[in-house]
Amino acid sequence: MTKRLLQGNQAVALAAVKAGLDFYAGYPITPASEILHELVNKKTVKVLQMEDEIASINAIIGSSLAGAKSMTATSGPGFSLMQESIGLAHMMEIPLVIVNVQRVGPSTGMPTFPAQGDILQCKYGSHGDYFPIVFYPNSVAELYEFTFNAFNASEESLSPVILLSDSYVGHLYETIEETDYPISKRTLAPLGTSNRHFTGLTHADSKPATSDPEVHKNFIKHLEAKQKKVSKKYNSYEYIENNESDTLLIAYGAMSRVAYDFKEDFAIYRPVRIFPIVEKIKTIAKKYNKIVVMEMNTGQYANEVERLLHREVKLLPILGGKIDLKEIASKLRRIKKKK
Amino acid sequence: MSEKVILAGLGGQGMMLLGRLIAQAVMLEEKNVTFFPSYGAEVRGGTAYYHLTVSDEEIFSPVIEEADALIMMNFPSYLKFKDLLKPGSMLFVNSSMIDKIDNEANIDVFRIPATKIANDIGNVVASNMVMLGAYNQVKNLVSIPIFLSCLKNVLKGRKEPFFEVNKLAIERGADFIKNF
Repeated sequence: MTKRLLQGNQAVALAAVKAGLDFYAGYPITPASEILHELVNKKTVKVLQMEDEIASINAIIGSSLAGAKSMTATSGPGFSLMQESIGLAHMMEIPLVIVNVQRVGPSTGMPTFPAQGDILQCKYGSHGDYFPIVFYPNSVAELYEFTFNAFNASEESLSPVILLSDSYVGHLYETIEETDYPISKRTLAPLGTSNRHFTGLTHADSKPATSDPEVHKNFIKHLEAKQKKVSKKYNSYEYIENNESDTLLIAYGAMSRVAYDFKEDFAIYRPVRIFPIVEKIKTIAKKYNKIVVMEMNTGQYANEVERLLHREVKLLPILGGKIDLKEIASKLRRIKKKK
Repeated sequence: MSEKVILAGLGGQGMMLLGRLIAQAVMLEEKNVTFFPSYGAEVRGGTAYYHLTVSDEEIFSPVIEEADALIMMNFPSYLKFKDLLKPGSMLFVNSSMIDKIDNEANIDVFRIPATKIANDIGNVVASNMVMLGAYNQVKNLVSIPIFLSCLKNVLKGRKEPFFEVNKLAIERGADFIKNF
């Protein structure tokens, strides 16, 4: 096994190639551009720079239909533009990988600074009901591994899988072991091989069925069951128990790297598959009186956790892209003291 | 063993390349390393700074709050990071571009005229390597032969003629400390 020093974004590109990526379409955006730059030089991947993110996602939907393993990468502003077609991909059951290297928003925000503001956008950004699988690794080695997982989960669930990152992990250089993980095969028959009709309309047996509520109900049920089943294979989380502490600190992605510095004083829980939420949190949370979610937004994941656990969750928002350990330590101390 | 270094300078002064090469070299020596770049939206002329952590243990947060060493290439960088020095830290400054330094007890200061030394050997761009030579002479963090092999990998093809001047720059930096 070869050891390599790679940037998070480079690790994603390398793993994507190894996972069998055939086609990449994207529009450059800080802090995700390095993924495009890396892939342009790979001989086994066809790369198209599109005119924008809407074109990019539609291009990869088309290529995936035609049988190519497809990916795009972007940041918050581009991810917003992709939302409509993400819904289309769920409706048509198209395997895709979408990498979102988050930066400070809303809008153009702070392009070179990290944030975690796209958490809810991943789950609820498109209209209608869908159940996306979302991974959020916190190191370069993990980004490498979960790029494989994202491709595999997308093939197994026939749905677009989102790989979240942020400009902190995406730009960080760390060591990885260049492992070849197992790869799931394509099960979707390529375009032109059977008599099918692909549509964003509610459909049954490849035919539009837009006036029968039962068909739609069953279709949504089918989507939910499918995503649940596949995501069970990827129950990824990290839990550092602390019997001395009455407080559970929840953090993911960039913030979890910071959270480790407080493991003497807190128990730490880090979801890697952030959606569908790993149910294990329910049993872990029972052990602790207080739950704190530290995230680089104003409480997007905290609300989801609160809703799942049916109890109060304290929030520690870290905004503006600056990670100041001293400031975080004093805020955590204050939360710990409060009854 | 744990070493936390902040490298900072103007975009174009080669701190990115230097940090990445150090990270690569220590990785080959089986140490854990994180290299965390931060830069503004501009590239050339903007501030660019890099947090480099090398350790035998697992590294959690790659952001440095208290540095063991600062390698500062220009004055604005020094102003930005001087508060991260702690007693016992070492400060390496490019004295060609930084002349005023606060008097601080318990901090070892090394003033290296890196830009001038690099200019004297014929390539001002190699000032980053002068700083490495000086830093490593004191700290002995990386093995220079391994570092040079990493550098050789980067300077391929068209850039190959620049290898020798970089190597010389490292030696001159080390010599400067020997005669300090």
